[in-house]
Amino acid sequence: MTSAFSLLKTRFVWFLFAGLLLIAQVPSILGSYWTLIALNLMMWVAITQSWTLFSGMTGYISLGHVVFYGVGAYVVASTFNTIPLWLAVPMGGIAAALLALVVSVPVLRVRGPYFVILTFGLAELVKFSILNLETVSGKSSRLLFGTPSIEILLYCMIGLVVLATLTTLFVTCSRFGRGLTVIREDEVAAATVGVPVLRYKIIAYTISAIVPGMAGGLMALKSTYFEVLQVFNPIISFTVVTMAIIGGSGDVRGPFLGAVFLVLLSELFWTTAPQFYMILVGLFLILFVIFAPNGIAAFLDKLQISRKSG
Amino acid sequence: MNARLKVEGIRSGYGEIQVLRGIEMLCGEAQITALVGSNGAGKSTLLRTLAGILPTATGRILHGEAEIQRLPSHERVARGIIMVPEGRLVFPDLSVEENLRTGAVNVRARDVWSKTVKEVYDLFPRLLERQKQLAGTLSGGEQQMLALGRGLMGLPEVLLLDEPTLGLAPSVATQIFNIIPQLTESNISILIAEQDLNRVLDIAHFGYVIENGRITMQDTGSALRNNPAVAEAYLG
Repeated sequence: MTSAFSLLKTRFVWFLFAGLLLIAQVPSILGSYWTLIALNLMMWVAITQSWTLFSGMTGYISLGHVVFYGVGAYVVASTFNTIPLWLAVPMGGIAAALLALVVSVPVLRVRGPYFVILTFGLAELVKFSILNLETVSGKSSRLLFGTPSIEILLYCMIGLVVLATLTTLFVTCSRFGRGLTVIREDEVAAATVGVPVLRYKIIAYTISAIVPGMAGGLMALKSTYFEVLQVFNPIISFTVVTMAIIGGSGDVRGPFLGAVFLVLLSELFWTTAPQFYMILVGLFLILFVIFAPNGIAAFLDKLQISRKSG
Repeated sequence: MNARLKVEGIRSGYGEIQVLRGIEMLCGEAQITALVGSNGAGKSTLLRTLAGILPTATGRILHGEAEIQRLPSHERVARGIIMVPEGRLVFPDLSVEENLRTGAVNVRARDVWSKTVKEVYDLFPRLLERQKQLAGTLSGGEQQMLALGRGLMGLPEVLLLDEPTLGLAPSVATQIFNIIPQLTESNISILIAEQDLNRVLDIAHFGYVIENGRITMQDTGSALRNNPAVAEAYLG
Protein backbone atom coordinates (compact mmCIF):
# COMPACT_ATOMS: atom_id res chain seq x y z
CA MET A 1 0.00 0.00 0.00
CA THR A 2 2.81 2.37 0.89
CA SER A 3 4.56 1.88 -2.46
CA ALA A 4 1.33 2.45 -4.40
CA PHE A 5 0.82 5.62 -2.45
CA SER A 6 4.30 6.95 -3.13
CA LEU A 7 3.86 6.12 -6.84
CA LEU A 8 0.64 8.11 -6.97
CA LYS A 9 2.43 10.83 -5.13
CA THR A 10 5.29 11.14 -7.57
CA ARG A 11 2.86 11.16 -10.52
CA PHE A 12 0.85 13.81 -8.72
CA VAL A 13 3.95 15.90 -8.07
CA TRP A 14 4.82 15.86 -11.79
CA PHE A 15 1.28 16.87 -12.71
CA LEU A 16 1.48 19.60 -10.11
CA PHE A 17 4.67 21.13 -11.39
CA ALA A 18 3.57 20.89 -15.03
CA GLY A 19 0.26 22.56 -14.15
CA LEU A 20 1.88 25.34 -12.16
CA LEU A 21 4.42 25.99 -14.94
CA LEU A 22 1.49 26.39 -17.36
CA ILE A 23 -0.24 28.80 -15.01
CA ALA A 24 2.99 30.79 -14.75
CA GLN A 25 2.74 31.32 -18.54
CA VAL A 26 -0.74 32.86 -18.31
CA PRO A 27 0.41 36.52 -18.09
CA SER A 28 2.49 36.36 -21.26
CA ILE A 29 0.03 34.30 -23.32
CA LEU A 30 -3.51 35.16 -22.18
CA GLY A 31 -3.11 38.70 -20.87
CA SER A 32 -4.13 40.58 -17.74
CA TYR A 33 -7.74 39.44 -17.37
CA TRP A 34 -6.74 35.79 -17.21
CA THR A 35 -3.77 36.66 -15.02
CA LEU A 36 -6.21 37.96 -12.41
CA ILE A 37 -8.24 34.78 -12.66
CA ALA A 38 -5.08 32.68 -12.33
CA LEU A 39 -4.10 34.70 -9.25
CA ASN A 40 -7.54 34.12 -7.72
CA LEU A 41 -7.38 30.43 -8.51
CA MET A 42 -3.94 30.08 -6.92
CA MET A 43 -5.10 31.99 -3.85
CA TRP A 44 -8.03 29.62 -3.33
CA VAL A 45 -5.85 26.55 -3.84
CA ALA A 46 -3.28 27.82 -1.34
CA ILE A 47 -5.83 28.64 1.38
CA THR A 48 -7.92 25.52 0.86
CA GLN A 49 -4.82 23.32 0.91
CA SER A 50 -3.80 24.83 4.26
CA TRP A 51 -7.32 24.45 5.60
CA THR A 52 -7.27 20.77 4.60
CA LEU A 53 -4.02 20.25 6.46
CA PHE A 54 -5.84 21.02 9.69
CA SER A 55 -9.57 20.44 9.15
CA GLY A 56 -9.31 17.60 6.62
CA MET A 57 -6.81 15.66 8.66
CA THR A 58 -8.19 16.19 12.17
CA GLY A 59 -11.90 16.43 11.33
CA TYR A 60 -12.16 19.73 13.24
CA ILE A 61 -14.04 21.92 10.75
CA SER A 62 -12.78 25.49 10.95
CA LEU A 63 -15.36 27.97 9.71
CA GLY A 64 -13.16 30.94 10.49
CA HIS A 65 -9.98 30.58 8.46
CA VAL A 66 -10.64 34.02 6.99
CA VAL A 67 -9.30 35.45 10.25
CA PHE A 68 -5.77 34.41 9.24
CA TYR A 69 -6.21 35.81 5.74
CA GLY A 70 -7.47 39.08 7.23
CA VAL A 71 -4.68 39.35 9.77
CA GLY A 72 -2.08 38.78 7.05
CA ALA A 73 -3.70 41.49 4.93
CA TYR A 74 -3.81 43.84 7.92
CA VAL A 75 -0.12 43.35 8.68
CA VAL A 76 0.88 44.10 5.08
CA ALA A 77 -1.48 47.10 4.78
CA SER A 78 -0.53 48.68 8.10
CA THR A 79 3.21 48.32 7.53
CA PHE A 80 3.01 49.37 3.88
CA ASN A 81 5.87 51.73 2.90
CA THR A 82 7.52 51.27 6.28
CA ILE A 83 8.97 47.79 5.90
CA PRO A 84 9.87 46.03 2.62
CA LEU A 85 7.25 43.72 1.17
CA TRP A 86 9.49 40.66 1.06
CA LEU A 87 9.50 40.95 4.84
CA ALA A 88 5.94 42.19 5.37
CA VAL A 89 4.22 39.30 3.58
CA PRO A 90 6.00 36.55 5.56
CA MET A 91 5.35 38.63 8.69
CA GLY A 92 1.65 38.43 7.83
CA GLY A 93 1.99 34.66 7.84
CA ILE A 94 3.84 34.69 11.15
CA ALA A 95 1.27 37.02 12.73
CA ALA A 96 -1.52 34.67 11.60
CA ALA A 97 0.36 31.68 13.03
CA LEU A 98 0.89 33.49 16.34
CA LEU A 99 -2.81 34.30 16.53
CA ALA A 100 -3.62 30.64 15.85
CA LEU A 101 -1.18 29.54 18.53
CA VAL A 102 -2.60 31.92 21.13
CA VAL A 103 -6.26 31.06 20.53
CA SER A 104 -5.68 27.34 19.91
CA VAL A 105 -5.57 26.26 23.55
CA PRO A 106 -9.07 27.47 24.44
CA VAL A 107 -10.55 26.92 20.96
CA LEU A 108 -9.34 23.34 20.51
CA ARG A 109 -10.85 22.21 23.81
CA VAL A 110 -14.31 22.07 22.25
CA ARG A 111 -15.38 19.69 19.52
CA GLY A 112 -17.94 19.19 16.79
CA PRO A 113 -20.49 21.93 16.14
CA TYR A 114 -19.19 23.97 19.09
CA PHE A 115 -15.78 24.17 17.48
CA VAL A 116 -17.30 25.24 14.16
CA ILE A 117 -19.29 28.04 15.82
CA LEU A 118 -16.35 29.12 17.95
CA THR A 119 -14.00 29.52 14.97
CA PHE A 120 -16.68 31.52 13.17
CA GLY A 121 -17.25 33.71 16.24
CA LEU A 122 -13.54 34.24 16.71
CA ALA A 123 -13.16 35.50 13.13
CA GLU A 124 -16.03 37.95 13.63
CA LEU A 125 -14.54 39.11 16.95
CA VAL A 126 -11.17 39.86 15.38
CA LYS A 127 -12.88 41.53 12.41
CA PHE A 128 -14.81 43.99 14.56
CA SER A 129 -11.86 44.57 16.88
CA ILE A 130 -9.65 45.61 13.98
CA LEU A 131 -12.51 47.62 12.48
CA ASN A 132 -12.79 49.60 15.72
CA LEU A 133 -9.04 50.00 15.91
CA GLU A 134 -9.01 51.42 12.37
CA THR A 135 -11.95 53.72 13.03
CA VAL A 136 -10.46 55.07 16.25
CA SER A 137 -7.17 55.79 14.50
CA GLY A 138 -9.15 57.45 11.69
CA LYS A 139 -8.26 54.97 8.95
CA SER A 140 -11.49 53.39 7.78
CA SER A 141 -9.68 52.14 4.69
CA ARG A 142 -6.15 52.41 3.37
CA LEU A 143 -4.96 52.97 -0.17
CA LEU A 144 -1.77 51.20 -1.12
CA PHE A 145 0.26 53.01 -3.80
CA GLY A 146 3.06 51.41 -5.77
CA THR A 147 2.20 47.75 -5.24
CA PRO A 148 3.98 45.06 -7.28
CA SER A 149 2.52 43.98 -10.64
CA ILE A 150 -0.10 41.25 -10.89
CA GLU A 151 2.47 38.97 -12.56
CA ILE A 152 4.82 39.19 -9.58
CA LEU A 153 1.93 38.54 -7.20
CA LEU A 154 0.88 35.53 -9.29
CA TYR A 155 4.38 34.05 -9.08
CA CYS A 156 4.41 34.59 -5.31
CA MET A 157 0.99 32.97 -5.01
CA ILE A 158 2.18 29.97 -7.04
CA GLY A 159 5.02 29.76 -4.54
CA LEU A 160 2.45 29.62 -1.72
CA VAL A 161 0.58 26.82 -3.51
CA VAL A 162 3.82 24.85 -3.74
CA LEU A 163 4.58 25.55 -0.08
CA ALA A 164 1.09 24.52 1.10
CA THR A 165 1.00 21.40 -1.09
CA LEU A 166 4.46 20.16 -0.17
CA THR A 167 3.68 20.76 3.51
CA THR A 168 0.50 18.68 3.18
CA LEU A 169 2.34 15.89 1.33
CA PHE A 170 5.11 15.90 3.88
CA VAL A 171 2.71 15.86 6.83
CA THR A 172 0.59 13.08 5.30
CA CYS A 173 3.59 10.76 5.19
CA SER A 174 4.92 11.66 8.63
CA ARG A 175 4.22 10.22 12.06
CA PHE A 176 2.66 13.59 12.89
CA GLY A 177 0.20 13.16 9.99
CA ARG A 178 -0.74 9.64 11.06
CA GLY A 179 -1.32 11.00 14.55
CA LEU A 180 -3.72 13.63 13.13
CA THR A 181 -5.62 10.95 11.17
CA VAL A 182 -5.96 8.87 14.31
CA ILE A 183 -7.27 11.91 16.20
CA ARG A 184 -9.95 12.30 13.52
CA GLU A 185 -10.90 8.63 13.88
CA ASP A 186 -11.24 8.64 17.66
CA GLU A 187 -9.70 11.16 19.99
CA VAL A 188 -9.88 9.12 23.22
CA ALA A 189 -8.42 6.06 21.53
CA ALA A 190 -5.70 8.27 20.07
CA ALA A 191 -4.80 9.43 23.57
CA THR A 192 -4.72 5.86 24.89
CA VAL A 193 -2.19 4.75 22.26
CA GLY A 194 0.01 7.68 23.21
CA VAL A 195 -0.64 10.35 20.59
CA PRO A 196 -0.06 13.79 22.20
CA VAL A 197 -3.54 14.87 21.10
CA LEU A 198 -3.68 18.49 22.23
CA ARG A 199 -0.12 19.27 21.10
CA TYR A 200 -0.70 17.77 17.64
CA LYS A 201 -3.94 19.69 17.19
CA ILE A 202 -2.24 22.96 18.19
CA ILE A 203 0.67 22.40 15.80
CA ALA A 204 -1.65 21.55 12.88
CA TYR A 205 -3.89 24.56 13.57
CA THR A 206 -0.87 26.88 13.76
CA ILE A 207 0.73 25.54 10.56
CA SER A 208 -2.58 25.85 8.71
CA ALA A 209 -2.69 29.60 9.49
CA ILE A 210 0.65 30.54 7.88
CA VAL A 211 -0.17 30.31 4.17
CA PRO A 212 -3.62 31.97 4.50
CA GLY A 213 -1.87 34.83 6.32
CA MET A 214 0.62 35.33 3.50
CA ALA A 215 -2.12 34.91 0.86
CA GLY A 216 -4.10 37.66 2.57
CA GLY A 217 -1.08 39.93 2.41
CA LEU A 218 -0.63 39.30 -1.31
CA MET A 219 -4.32 39.86 -2.03
CA ALA A 220 -4.24 43.20 -0.18
CA LEU A 221 -1.43 44.21 -2.55
CA LYS A 222 -3.49 43.01 -5.50
CA SER A 223 -6.56 45.09 -4.64
CA THR A 224 -4.32 48.11 -3.82
CA TYR A 225 -6.53 49.09 -0.94
CA PHE A 226 -7.35 47.63 2.44
CA GLU A 227 -10.83 47.50 3.82
CA VAL A 228 -11.51 45.49 7.01
CA LEU A 229 -14.98 44.22 6.09
CA GLN A 230 -13.64 42.94 2.79
CA VAL A 231 -10.58 41.01 3.97
CA PHE A 232 -12.44 39.52 6.94
CA ASN A 233 -15.51 38.63 4.87
CA PRO A 234 -16.89 35.31 6.20
CA ILE A 235 -17.76 34.33 2.62
CA ILE A 236 -14.04 33.58 2.22
CA SER A 237 -14.24 30.94 4.99
CA PHE A 238 -17.41 29.46 3.48
CA THR A 239 -15.84 29.30 0.02
CA VAL A 240 -12.79 27.48 1.37
CA VAL A 241 -14.95 24.85 3.08
CA THR A 242 -17.08 24.49 -0.06
CA MET A 243 -14.02 24.01 -2.27
CA ALA A 244 -12.58 21.44 0.12
CA ILE A 245 -15.82 19.44 0.20
CA ILE A 246 -16.35 19.57 -3.55
CA GLY A 247 -12.72 18.72 -4.32
CA GLY A 248 -12.28 16.19 -1.53
CA SER A 249 -10.94 17.21 1.88
CA GLY A 250 -9.05 14.00 2.56
CA ASP A 251 -6.90 14.24 -0.53
CA VAL A 252 -4.02 16.49 -1.55
CA ARG A 253 -5.62 16.85 -5.03
CA GLY A 254 -8.91 18.00 -3.51
CA PRO A 255 -8.13 21.72 -3.13
CA PHE A 256 -6.96 21.92 -6.77
CA LEU A 257 -10.06 20.19 -8.08
CA GLY A 258 -12.44 22.12 -5.84
CA ALA A 259 -10.87 25.50 -6.59
CA VAL A 260 -10.77 24.92 -10.37
CA PHE A 261 -14.39 23.76 -10.30
CA LEU A 262 -15.71 26.78 -8.41
CA VAL A 263 -13.54 29.35 -10.19
CA LEU A 264 -14.69 28.02 -13.57
CA LEU A 265 -18.30 28.01 -12.40
CA SER A 266 -17.95 31.58 -11.23
CA GLU A 267 -16.34 32.60 -14.54
CA LEU A 268 -19.26 31.10 -16.44
CA PHE A 269 -22.06 32.57 -14.37
CA TRP A 270 -20.87 35.35 -12.05
CA THR A 271 -20.98 38.21 -14.55
CA THR A 272 -23.97 37.00 -16.54
CA ALA A 273 -26.20 35.65 -13.76
CA PRO A 274 -24.77 36.21 -10.25
CA GLN A 275 -27.87 34.96 -8.40
CA PHE A 276 -27.90 31.87 -10.52
CA TYR A 277 -24.26 31.29 -9.59
CA MET A 278 -24.95 31.33 -5.84
CA ILE A 279 -27.88 28.97 -6.33
CA LEU A 280 -25.66 26.61 -8.31
CA VAL A 281 -22.94 26.68 -5.65
CA GLY A 282 -25.50 25.80 -2.99
CA LEU A 283 -26.94 23.06 -5.16
CA PHE A 284 -23.54 21.54 -5.89
CA LEU A 285 -22.61 21.67 -2.21
CA ILE A 286 -25.76 19.76 -1.25
CA LEU A 287 -25.27 17.24 -4.04
CA PHE A 288 -21.66 16.60 -3.13
CA VAL A 289 -22.32 16.26 0.61
CA ILE A 290 -25.06 13.70 -0.07
CA PHE A 291 -23.71 11.75 -3.05
CA ALA A 292 -19.96 12.31 -3.05
CA PRO A 293 -18.86 13.31 0.47
CA ASN A 294 -15.24 12.61 -0.45
CA GLY A 295 -15.41 14.98 -3.38
CA ILE A 296 -14.20 14.92 -6.99
CA ALA A 297 -10.89 13.31 -5.97
CA ALA A 298 -12.61 10.17 -4.64
CA PHE A 299 -14.89 10.18 -7.68
CA LEU A 300 -11.85 10.13 -9.99
CA ASP A 301 -10.36 7.22 -8.04
CA LYS A 302 -13.60 5.31 -8.42
CA LEU A 303 -13.64 5.94 -12.19
CA GLN A 304 -10.08 4.68 -12.47
CA ILE A 305 -10.80 1.53 -10.47
CA SER A 306 -13.93 0.67 -12.48
CA ARG A 307 -12.07 1.27 -15.76
CA LYS A 308 -9.31 -1.10 -14.68
CA SER A 309 -11.66 -3.83 -13.51
CA GLY A 310 -14.20 -3.34 -16.31
CA MET B 1 3.99 -7.86 47.30
CA ASN B 2 5.90 -5.42 45.14
CA ALA B 3 3.63 -2.73 43.81
CA ARG B 4 4.13 -1.54 40.29
CA LEU B 5 1.40 1.07 40.48
CA LYS B 6 0.40 2.73 43.72
CA VAL B 7 -2.66 4.95 44.04
CA GLU B 8 -2.79 7.30 47.03
CA GLY B 9 -5.92 9.27 47.86
CA ILE B 10 -6.96 9.95 44.29
CA ARG B 11 -9.87 12.32 43.74
CA SER B 12 -11.11 13.16 40.27
CA GLY B 13 -14.20 13.50 38.16
CA TYR B 14 -15.79 15.51 35.39
CA GLY B 15 -15.61 19.25 36.00
CA GLU B 16 -17.58 20.06 39.13
CA ILE B 17 -18.87 16.54 39.52
CA GLN B 18 -16.57 14.53 41.75
CA VAL B 19 -16.67 10.81 41.10
CA LEU B 20 -13.64 9.45 42.95
CA ARG B 21 -13.44 10.41 46.62
CA GLY B 22 -10.04 9.22 47.73
CA ILE B 23 -8.98 5.92 46.20
CA GLU B 24 -6.15 3.87 47.72
CA MET B 25 -4.93 0.83 45.82
CA LEU B 26 -1.93 -1.18 44.64
CA CYS B 27 -1.26 -3.12 41.45
CA GLY B 28 1.25 -5.90 42.03
CA GLU B 29 4.05 -6.77 39.63
CA ALA B 30 2.92 -9.21 36.97
CA GLN B 31 -0.35 -9.69 38.80
CA ILE B 32 -3.98 -9.33 37.87
CA THR B 33 -5.83 -6.81 40.00
CA ALA B 34 -9.60 -6.74 39.65
CA LEU B 35 -11.77 -3.69 40.13
CA VAL B 36 -15.41 -4.61 40.65
CA GLY B 37 -18.46 -2.53 41.42
CA SER B 38 -21.84 -1.55 40.06
CA ASN B 39 -22.47 0.82 37.18
CA GLY B 40 -21.51 4.37 38.06
CA ALA B 41 -19.35 3.36 41.02
CA GLY B 42 -16.30 4.97 39.39
CA LYS B 43 -14.45 2.07 37.72
CA SER B 44 -14.05 3.76 34.34
CA THR B 45 -13.31 7.10 35.95
CA LEU B 46 -10.48 5.53 37.94
CA LEU B 47 -8.94 3.85 34.88
CA ARG B 48 -9.25 7.04 32.84
CA THR B 49 -7.61 9.01 35.63
CA LEU B 50 -4.75 6.52 35.83
CA ALA B 51 -4.30 6.74 32.05
CA GLY B 52 -4.29 10.54 32.15
CA ILE B 53 -7.41 10.97 30.03
CA LEU B 54 -9.00 12.69 33.05
CA PRO B 55 -7.00 15.05 35.27
CA THR B 56 -6.24 14.09 38.86
CA ALA B 57 -7.72 16.64 41.28
CA THR B 58 -5.75 15.54 44.36
CA GLY B 59 -3.74 12.53 45.43
CA ARG B 60 -0.75 10.73 43.98
CA ILE B 61 -0.19 8.01 41.39
CA LEU B 62 3.18 6.29 41.76
CA HIS B 63 4.73 4.23 39.01
CA GLY B 64 7.61 2.61 40.82
CA GLU B 65 9.17 5.59 42.61
CA ALA B 66 7.97 8.24 40.18
CA GLU B 67 4.91 10.44 40.64
CA ILE B 68 2.96 10.43 37.39
CA GLN B 69 -0.35 12.11 38.25
CA ARG B 70 0.66 15.34 36.49
CA LEU B 71 2.00 13.68 33.32
CA PRO B 72 -0.07 13.98 30.13
CA SER B 73 -1.52 10.75 28.77
CA HIS B 74 1.08 10.25 26.03
CA GLU B 75 3.92 10.40 28.55
CA ARG B 76 2.22 7.77 30.68
CA VAL B 77 1.89 5.59 27.60
CA ALA B 78 5.61 6.06 26.98
CA ARG B 79 6.22 4.83 30.55
CA GLY B 80 4.18 1.72 29.79
CA ILE B 81 0.90 2.60 31.45
CA ILE B 82 -1.55 1.76 28.72
CA MET B 83 -5.34 1.69 28.73
CA VAL B 84 -7.61 -0.38 26.52
CA PRO B 85 -10.70 1.81 26.59
CA GLU B 86 -14.24 0.61 27.09
CA GLY B 87 -16.35 0.11 23.99
CA ARG B 88 -13.53 -1.19 21.78
CA LEU B 89 -12.47 2.19 20.46
CA VAL B 90 -10.64 0.95 17.39
CA PHE B 91 -9.96 3.27 14.45
CA PRO B 92 -12.72 2.15 12.05
CA ASP B 93 -11.25 3.45 8.78
CA LEU B 94 -7.78 2.00 9.38
CA SER B 95 -6.92 -1.62 8.63
CA VAL B 96 -6.26 -4.14 11.40
CA GLU B 97 -2.53 -3.88 10.91
CA GLU B 98 -2.60 -0.07 10.79
CA ASN B 99 -4.57 -0.08 14.04
CA LEU B 100 -1.93 -2.30 15.61
CA ARG B 101 0.79 -0.05 14.31
CA THR B 102 -0.74 3.02 15.94
CA GLY B 103 -0.46 1.14 19.23
CA ALA B 104 3.31 1.32 18.88
CA VAL B 105 3.73 5.07 18.39
CA ASN B 106 5.39 5.55 21.78
CA VAL B 107 9.16 5.87 21.95
CA ARG B 108 9.87 2.50 23.58
CA ALA B 109 7.65 0.48 21.23
CA ARG B 110 8.24 2.27 17.93
CA ASP B 111 11.39 0.55 16.69
CA VAL B 112 10.39 -2.99 17.66
CA TRP B 113 6.85 -2.85 16.31
CA SER B 114 7.41 -5.47 13.59
CA LYS B 115 8.56 -7.94 16.24
CA THR B 116 5.74 -7.08 18.64
CA VAL B 117 3.12 -7.41 15.93
CA LYS B 118 4.14 -11.05 15.34
CA GLU B 119 3.66 -11.79 19.03
CA VAL B 120 0.22 -10.17 18.91
CA TYR B 121 -0.71 -12.27 15.85
CA ASP B 122 0.46 -15.39 17.73
CA LEU B 123 -1.84 -14.45 20.58
CA PHE B 124 -4.76 -13.56 18.28
CA PRO B 125 -4.48 -15.61 15.05
CA ARG B 126 -7.83 -14.14 14.04
CA LEU B 127 -6.24 -10.72 13.65
CA LEU B 128 -3.65 -12.13 11.26
CA GLU B 129 -6.46 -13.51 9.09
CA ARG B 130 -8.08 -10.07 9.07
CA GLN B 131 -4.78 -8.14 8.71
CA LYS B 132 -5.83 -6.00 5.71
CA GLN B 133 -9.49 -5.61 6.63
CA LEU B 134 -10.84 -2.26 7.88
CA ALA B 135 -11.32 -2.38 11.64
CA GLY B 136 -14.85 -0.99 11.33
CA THR B 137 -15.95 -4.14 9.51
CA LEU B 138 -14.83 -6.54 12.26
CA SER B 139 -17.22 -8.29 14.63
CA GLY B 140 -17.47 -7.08 18.23
CA GLY B 141 -15.23 -9.85 19.50
CA GLU B 142 -12.61 -9.22 16.84
CA GLN B 143 -12.66 -5.51 17.62
CA GLN B 144 -12.05 -6.28 21.29
CA MET B 145 -9.12 -8.52 20.33
CA LEU B 146 -7.82 -5.70 18.15
CA ALA B 147 -8.18 -3.15 20.97
CA LEU B 148 -6.34 -5.52 23.30
CA GLY B 149 -3.68 -6.23 20.69
CA ARG B 150 -3.25 -2.51 20.05
CA GLY B 151 -2.69 -2.00 23.77
CA LEU B 152 -0.05 -4.75 23.79
CA MET B 153 1.72 -3.13 20.84
CA GLY B 154 2.72 -0.30 23.17
CA LEU B 155 4.71 -2.75 25.35
CA PRO B 156 2.73 -2.17 28.54
CA GLU B 157 4.09 -2.53 32.04
CA VAL B 158 0.65 -1.86 33.42
CA LEU B 159 -2.34 -2.67 31.22
CA LEU B 160 -5.61 -1.00 32.22
CA LEU B 161 -8.55 -2.97 30.84
CA ASP B 162 -11.93 -1.27 30.95
CA GLU B 163 -14.76 -3.80 30.65
CA PRO B 164 -13.04 -5.97 28.03
CA THR B 165 -15.96 -8.41 27.64
CA LEU B 166 -18.82 -5.92 27.66
CA GLY B 167 -21.41 -6.90 25.06
CA LEU B 168 -19.45 -9.86 23.73
CA ALA B 169 -20.80 -13.35 22.99
CA PRO B 170 -20.08 -15.74 25.92
CA SER B 171 -17.67 -17.86 23.90
CA VAL B 172 -15.64 -14.79 22.90
CA ALA B 173 -15.65 -13.55 26.50
CA THR B 174 -14.23 -16.91 27.57
CA GLN B 175 -11.47 -16.55 24.99
CA ILE B 176 -10.57 -13.10 26.34
CA PHE B 177 -10.56 -14.38 29.93
CA ASN B 178 -8.23 -17.21 28.89
CA ILE B 179 -5.76 -14.83 27.29
CA ILE B 180 -5.51 -12.28 30.12
CA PRO B 181 -3.66 -14.59 32.58
CA GLN B 182 -1.13 -15.42 29.82
CA LEU B 183 -0.15 -11.76 29.66
CA THR B 184 1.18 -11.75 33.22
CA GLU B 185 3.76 -14.31 32.08
CA SER B 186 5.26 -11.52 29.95
CA ASN B 187 5.66 -9.48 33.15
CA ILE B 188 2.63 -7.28 32.50
CA SER B 189 0.61 -6.02 35.47
CA ILE B 190 -3.08 -5.90 34.76
CA LEU B 191 -5.78 -3.76 36.31
CA ILE B 192 -9.13 -4.91 35.03
CA ALA B 193 -12.54 -3.33 35.59
CA GLU B 194 -15.24 -5.85 34.86
CA GLN B 195 -18.94 -6.47 35.35
CA ASP B 196 -18.60 -10.25 35.20
CA LEU B 197 -17.77 -10.55 38.87
CA ASN B 198 -17.18 -14.30 39.22
CA ARG B 199 -15.05 -14.75 36.17
CA VAL B 200 -12.82 -11.80 36.87
CA LEU B 201 -12.29 -12.80 40.50
CA ASP B 202 -11.40 -16.31 39.30
CA ILE B 203 -8.39 -15.01 37.41
CA ALA B 204 -7.46 -12.08 39.71
CA HIS B 205 -4.72 -12.30 42.32
CA PHE B 206 -6.22 -9.42 44.23
CA GLY B 207 -9.44 -7.47 43.99
CA TYR B 208 -10.98 -4.19 45.06
CA VAL B 209 -14.67 -3.42 45.43
CA ILE B 210 -15.51 0.17 44.56
CA GLU B 211 -18.74 1.86 45.68
CA ASN B 212 -19.62 5.54 45.24
CA GLY B 213 -16.06 6.46 44.41
CA ARG B 214 -14.50 4.73 47.42
CA ILE B 215 -12.84 1.36 47.95
CA THR B 216 -15.08 -0.50 50.38
CA MET B 217 -13.54 -3.99 50.34
CA GLN B 218 -10.25 -5.51 49.31
CA ASP B 219 -8.96 -9.06 49.47
CA THR B 220 -7.47 -11.83 47.38
CA GLY B 221 -9.50 -12.75 44.31
CA SER B 222 -10.67 -16.08 45.71
CA ALA B 223 -11.63 -14.59 49.10
CA LEU B 224 -13.75 -11.90 47.44
CA ARG B 225 -15.24 -14.56 45.21
CA ASN B 226 -16.61 -16.38 48.27
CA ASN B 227 -17.67 -13.26 50.18
CA PRO B 228 -21.46 -12.76 49.94
CA ALA B 229 -21.10 -9.05 50.77
CA VAL B 230 -19.35 -8.53 47.43
CA ALA B 231 -22.30 -9.71 45.41
CA GLU B 232 -24.48 -7.37 47.44
CA ALA B 233 -22.23 -4.40 46.75
CA TYR B 234 -22.21 -5.30 43.11
CA LEU B 235 -25.96 -5.20 42.93
CA GLY B 236 -25.67 -1.70 44.39
